[in-house]
Amino acid sequence: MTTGASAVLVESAIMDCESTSSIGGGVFSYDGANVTLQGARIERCHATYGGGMRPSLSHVALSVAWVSPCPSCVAFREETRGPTCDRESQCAL
Amino acid sequence: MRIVRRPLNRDCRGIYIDAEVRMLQSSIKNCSGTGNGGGFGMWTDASALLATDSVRCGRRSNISAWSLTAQVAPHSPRGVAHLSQTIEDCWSPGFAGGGTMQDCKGATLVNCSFLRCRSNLFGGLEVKNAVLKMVGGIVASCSSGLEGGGLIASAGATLVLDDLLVSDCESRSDWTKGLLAAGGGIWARGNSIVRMTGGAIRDCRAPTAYGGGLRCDGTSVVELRNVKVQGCTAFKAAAISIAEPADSGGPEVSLFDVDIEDCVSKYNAIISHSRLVAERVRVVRSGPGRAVSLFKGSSGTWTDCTFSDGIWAGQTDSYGAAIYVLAGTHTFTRTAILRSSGIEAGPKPSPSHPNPVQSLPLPYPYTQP
Repeated sequence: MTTGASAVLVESAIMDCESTSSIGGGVFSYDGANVTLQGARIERCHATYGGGMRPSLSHVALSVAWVSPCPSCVAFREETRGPTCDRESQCAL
Repeated sequence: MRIVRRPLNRDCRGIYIDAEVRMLQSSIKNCSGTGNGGGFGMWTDASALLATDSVRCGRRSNISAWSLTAQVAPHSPRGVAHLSQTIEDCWSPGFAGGGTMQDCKGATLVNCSFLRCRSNLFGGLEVKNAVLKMVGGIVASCSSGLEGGGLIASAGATLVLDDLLVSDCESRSDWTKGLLAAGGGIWARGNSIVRMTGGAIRDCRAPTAYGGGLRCDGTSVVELRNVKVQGCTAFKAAAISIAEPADSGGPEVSLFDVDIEDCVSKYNAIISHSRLVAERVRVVRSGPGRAVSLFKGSSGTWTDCTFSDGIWAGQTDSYGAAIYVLAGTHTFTRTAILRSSGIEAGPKPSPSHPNPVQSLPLPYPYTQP
């Protein structure tokens, strides 16, 4: 499989993380991967692109999730299919 | 109990016993075998079992058979050997330098140590179609030219390991030579069952292979409970490697209250191609590679787990996120990823799927807040 990767994070936390590949400090999903965050927290994460999360041509579903304000918190939203965080406006894009 | 002495080979004089035998405070040192079972052997349906005190044979003596043979009678009332001694510096050019148990009812080893046992193929102690219970004890500094540095659970084996320390064992299998890698500390293969409770797998290695601490192949069922995996290293999967499922299904691995600390690989600490259930697993300082790589064929749940302190600073050749989901469905509940590089989900980069990092326009207008 290359396009069926699926990760579900329930009541989980990703904190103080930093991407080494310049994108997606907290969550980096791409090419058809499915990521579901339910009650998850992503805080104080950093990357050049998408410090908190960087979905690219993939499906990310957030439910009662909290992505803390951080640089380029959710990047490339136009490439994302599916619902996104209702608190996204708080993030500095 | 009837005890009959007879020579088993030119150099060593074993003791042949046709009933249950207990070995207490004994040792088997510097023994070797030309086939397998350098320290001792238990196999076939011969109705015998051997025990002795302080058996010493010349190291690599010119013997034509196993230096010491212990066979458990299938029809004996219990068919169990109780060993409480040390097996040291035993060697075999074939299999199982420390000892082998095959097609017998098995053994209970209490506070038994296998030290510096080695073989060209499988390392310390191999069990096949038998039940081995080890309570306490140490398997240390054992090594294999191929797979399974310390303990090998082959087809039909059940290993029950309570408070056992597996330390400083090494598999020298080399993937670059087409030799598959398997477990510096423990190798579970076939339809074997390994249940380890308490104890630790420490400083075991598979430097050119997979699974420094533990490798699971075939349809093995492996459960670690209250186990520490510390300081293990490997080319890939420094701590645990779970192989790809075959047609008959893949390994099933359960980790409960397992601490994986300082297991360093350029690529990853844990690889799974199969089913994995993890509860209260803690992976700490696993860099520069990933803490967990979940490949094709894998699935599993991670509950109340922590991945923290991946080593990234100063690493010029690190491989990304703490958790890398390439395939399969994986659920992480109340799981924390701290001071690492987050979670990455997507296919392995290939010519048809280049790494998105490489396709990003640079420079991107980015300003530090």
